[in-house]
Amino acid sequence: MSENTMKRSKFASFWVIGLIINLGLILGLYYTEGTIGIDDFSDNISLPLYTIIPGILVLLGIWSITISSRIKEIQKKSLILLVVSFTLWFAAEQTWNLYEHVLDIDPYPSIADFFYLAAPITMFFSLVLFLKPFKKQISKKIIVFASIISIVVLIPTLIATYTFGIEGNFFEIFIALLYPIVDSILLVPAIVAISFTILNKRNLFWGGILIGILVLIAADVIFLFAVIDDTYVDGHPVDILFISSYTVWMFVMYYIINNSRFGNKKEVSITENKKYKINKFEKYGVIITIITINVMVGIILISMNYYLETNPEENITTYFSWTLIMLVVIFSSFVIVLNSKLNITLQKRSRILEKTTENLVKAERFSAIGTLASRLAHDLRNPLGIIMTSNSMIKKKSTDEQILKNTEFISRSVNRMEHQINNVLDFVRVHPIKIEESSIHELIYDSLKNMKIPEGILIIKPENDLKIQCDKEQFLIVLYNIILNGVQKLDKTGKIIIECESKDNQNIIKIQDSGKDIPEDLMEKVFEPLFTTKHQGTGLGLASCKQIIHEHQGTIHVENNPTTFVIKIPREITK
Amino acid sequence: MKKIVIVDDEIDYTEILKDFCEMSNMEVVGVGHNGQDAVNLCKEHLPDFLLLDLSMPEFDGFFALENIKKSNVNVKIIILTGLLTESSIKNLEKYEVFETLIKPVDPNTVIEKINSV
Repeated sequence: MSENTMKRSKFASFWVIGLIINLGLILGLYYTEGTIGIDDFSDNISLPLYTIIPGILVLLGIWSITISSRIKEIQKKSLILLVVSFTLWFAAEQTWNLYEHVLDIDPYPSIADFFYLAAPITMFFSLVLFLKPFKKQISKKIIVFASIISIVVLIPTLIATYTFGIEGNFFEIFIALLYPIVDSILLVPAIVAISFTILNKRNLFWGGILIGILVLIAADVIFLFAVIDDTYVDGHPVDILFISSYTVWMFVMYYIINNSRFGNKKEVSITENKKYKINKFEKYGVIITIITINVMVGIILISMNYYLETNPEENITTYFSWTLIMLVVIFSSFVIVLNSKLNITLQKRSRILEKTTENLVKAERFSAIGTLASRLAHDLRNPLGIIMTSNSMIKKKSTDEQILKNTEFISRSVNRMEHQINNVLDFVRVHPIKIEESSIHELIYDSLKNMKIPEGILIIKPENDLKIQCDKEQFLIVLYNIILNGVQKLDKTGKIIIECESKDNQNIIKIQDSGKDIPEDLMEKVFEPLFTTKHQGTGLGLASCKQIIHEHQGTIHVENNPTTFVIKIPREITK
Repeated sequence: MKKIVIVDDEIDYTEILKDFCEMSNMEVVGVGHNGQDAVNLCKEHLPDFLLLDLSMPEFDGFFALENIKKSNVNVKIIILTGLLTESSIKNLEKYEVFETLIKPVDPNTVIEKINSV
């Protein structure tokens, strides 16, 4: 461990202890005010603290801005907004103090309300700026989760505020309603940031800022109920919460200023750790929800008891019932959503598994069929060779017309068998494609070389030549099959027109025949393996074409009127 | 008259091919049925052309190709095979082969190829 790291961890532990002692001191003073001779907690402790702590907070904030280049925990813009929000809170507290204790007036709405509302909004933007670089790493789920929690807080307090404010005019109600709304808006990025920083990486600065926000929002809610209840006086226990959140912020500001002295970049910056993704939500989502809901229900039940004990005459139970109902509804819907998400994931995975197994079985079967077909091809081609050679021999030796006619039949039958064997082999064999540049003219010439074309059929080759990237052998199979398909369809008379062009990074080859249209319902089927309308076909010719074109990262389809096979392959084939 | 050696494990095929070649004014100096035969016949007769099958029992066509290459016999080789797999295409690239034809081959094509030289 380096000296710096040691210094830092020592400082961090002092820092935490200092914070706890500080908070403990405030709490201790509150509960022991009578026994240690402080008559009034509010006048002697909480009121000065409302000035001192936010004051120190603002000073520390300004200090941190001056050295912001050395601060690694937060970007400068975000830091400035954060300090502005601290200043607004300071201003709010001072204005309120001025009204309540110096001028002894209680205006509502006042400039203090403006500061109180502006502060969390500024802090919201500071958080958003902080989270912006991590936009891609934050899942939508966590935002939904944060929104749900903020709605849990918003709805009951909104109802309570509205009911309380109903006595005032529209503007007063509006200002009163703004408090819970602003708080819940702030809660969304706060929860997102908490899940981001605390779940993934320990970061005292952001941990502190966010705990402060949560405490402040809790304080606002309790304050609101106390005001509705008319039980709020200076020195109310909720003051401790407000002071605590300012204290925590004060400590974190001091922490980053101090931390900037340690030059070690390794552990501090979370902006450097961009690879980290929030995928823990799925893992911890249910647990966090259950804990949050339980804690909230617990708090509500305890405060309900407290209120009912101190104010038995107040009918405060309505608000609490609303809150509880909201909690249960949101909790249930959240669990349902999570559960359905889980189900969808499960279904997706099992579908993938099924597909993989199916493909594996298919591949295995295909490889077995491939071996069988190869063996069969070899075993059939040898005797075919003998038949063909013998036939040629007979043809050469004989002058008998009947015999010559018969040798022609044998020759044609052998060709048919050869073609069928080739069809099956082309389909079952898996070739890795070897890309080379070939000319369309040459390819067409080669594919027509071994084809017997009746005299009545005219084949019109493209005028322009095109250099295309393809596996020559494989592409010949495609052209051969499609042209042969056309020739067989034409039945001795007609035209086959081949055209080619280069467009939008694609080479397009069109093979058109003047034969009958393909019935609409068969347009897709012609490329399916084993589909054939011919008595002599294997149903593998066009299927092989499709397979080969796919291997060339291209597409093939057929259009009618006139029947045209359209092949599109990319100009450059990526390996 | 061109001197030819025919090697194929299908006896009937060698017979009929021999007849056809002779009828087309070629001199068939030897007929064999495996790779070893091909090597021996080529060394012995120094033919112009060797018509060679690839898959044969014991010593296959590649055995013949390898040993003919080693023995520096100058013979043009025409492969006549029933099955050309990816691996055999790759293997064939190592040798100087005049022509590769897949069965069933029209014997007239073979004669044309031989006469083209």
